[in-house]
Amino acid sequence: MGTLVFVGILFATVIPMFLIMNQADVLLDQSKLTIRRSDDERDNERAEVYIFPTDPQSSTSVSIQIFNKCEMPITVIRIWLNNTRYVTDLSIPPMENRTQVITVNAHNGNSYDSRVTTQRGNVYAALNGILSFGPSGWIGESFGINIVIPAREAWMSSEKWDGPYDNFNVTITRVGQSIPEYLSSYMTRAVSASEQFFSLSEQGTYHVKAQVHLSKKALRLAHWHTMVDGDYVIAWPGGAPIIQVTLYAQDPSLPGDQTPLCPICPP
Amino acid sequence: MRQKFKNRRGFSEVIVSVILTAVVLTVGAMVWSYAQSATTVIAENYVEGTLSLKQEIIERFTVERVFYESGVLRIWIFNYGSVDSQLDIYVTPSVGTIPPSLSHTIGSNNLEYVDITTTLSAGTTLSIKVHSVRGNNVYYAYTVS
Repeated sequence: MGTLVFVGILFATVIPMFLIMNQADVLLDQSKLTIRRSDDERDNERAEVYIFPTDPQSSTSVSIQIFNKCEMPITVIRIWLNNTRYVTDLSIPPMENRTQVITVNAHNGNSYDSRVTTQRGNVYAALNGILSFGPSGWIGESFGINIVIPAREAWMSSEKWDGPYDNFNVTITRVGQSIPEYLSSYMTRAVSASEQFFSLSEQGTYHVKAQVHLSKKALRLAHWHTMVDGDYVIAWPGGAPIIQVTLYAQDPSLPGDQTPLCPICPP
Repeated sequence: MRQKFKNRRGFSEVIVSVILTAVVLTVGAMVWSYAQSATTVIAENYVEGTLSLKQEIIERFTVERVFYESGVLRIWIFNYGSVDSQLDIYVTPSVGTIPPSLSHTIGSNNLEYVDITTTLSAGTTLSIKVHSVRGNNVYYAYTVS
């Protein structure tokens, strides 16, 4: 009889208690997992924000350009211009950008500090600093060219690289100048998208040459293959103070084999 | 001694069994009842503690923007978590002191601001600590321009 009572107590009270506790632990673990995922997404989210006048001759509006630099879509929920907030719902796909025009009434001495808030809770300040309006018009803080190597293209996977850090190089020369701003500056290439920012002292036209080193393969000799060789204009204040140059081996819209076109490379 | 108990008669085995069974059942019922209420209390406390811990773990907020103008320090706080937060704000300037601003409730996915009236000179650096009653902290540094 005593044993029966003991077993009865065990099944009717103790075991349900352990089951309830276990269920609470499961709920806690689920929440931890969910919040960890959400924190990871937040940590991996990356955006770049630039502010520039929409029309350099006009003091009535500024443009906020937002680049999504991560592999997830981001949603911008607020844009700040000084202490004024503009509520928005701007979805930006990976590696793309959107521009938001904001009406202002700039007077001599006004400055504009811009920030962007995303749905995941990140806040990004404009990388080119504070935009000011002076007696001679708009004044910016920094200029530059951002070189982007997109997610690894198909042909990259079949290539052998000489090393992890020295297979891309970039030369940037101001048009009309003989001394380059950057000479054969190495870029690193990550497994996914990678990029490097080249700071420049002023706006103008710059010649950008980017090369990738291809190793010897079958009949092909090892050589530097040119991916970009052209002029790019930083048209600030008529355009963005920081421009983006993306290195594609070929026209990305072309289907099929992505072997880079090069006179030395086999067709 | 043997003579003394010779004529005394004991309980029959049936009666003893009935009495013992009754005693065991009574004691068993008491223990059962006690165990039931004790385990209920233990389980409830445990679940309550676990859920409270869960709320603490999933609470998320950030200082989104700070702006000082005309003697008012405005601190914008964005609760991007899935639970409401009750927050205390402590501002420590590089020069002087500012009393804490306590008990501000910010709903989930809401942006709210807290105004603190104070006099600050340009160049003063503020260390802002936002503390939730659940024990989470967020820090922000701001220099008055």
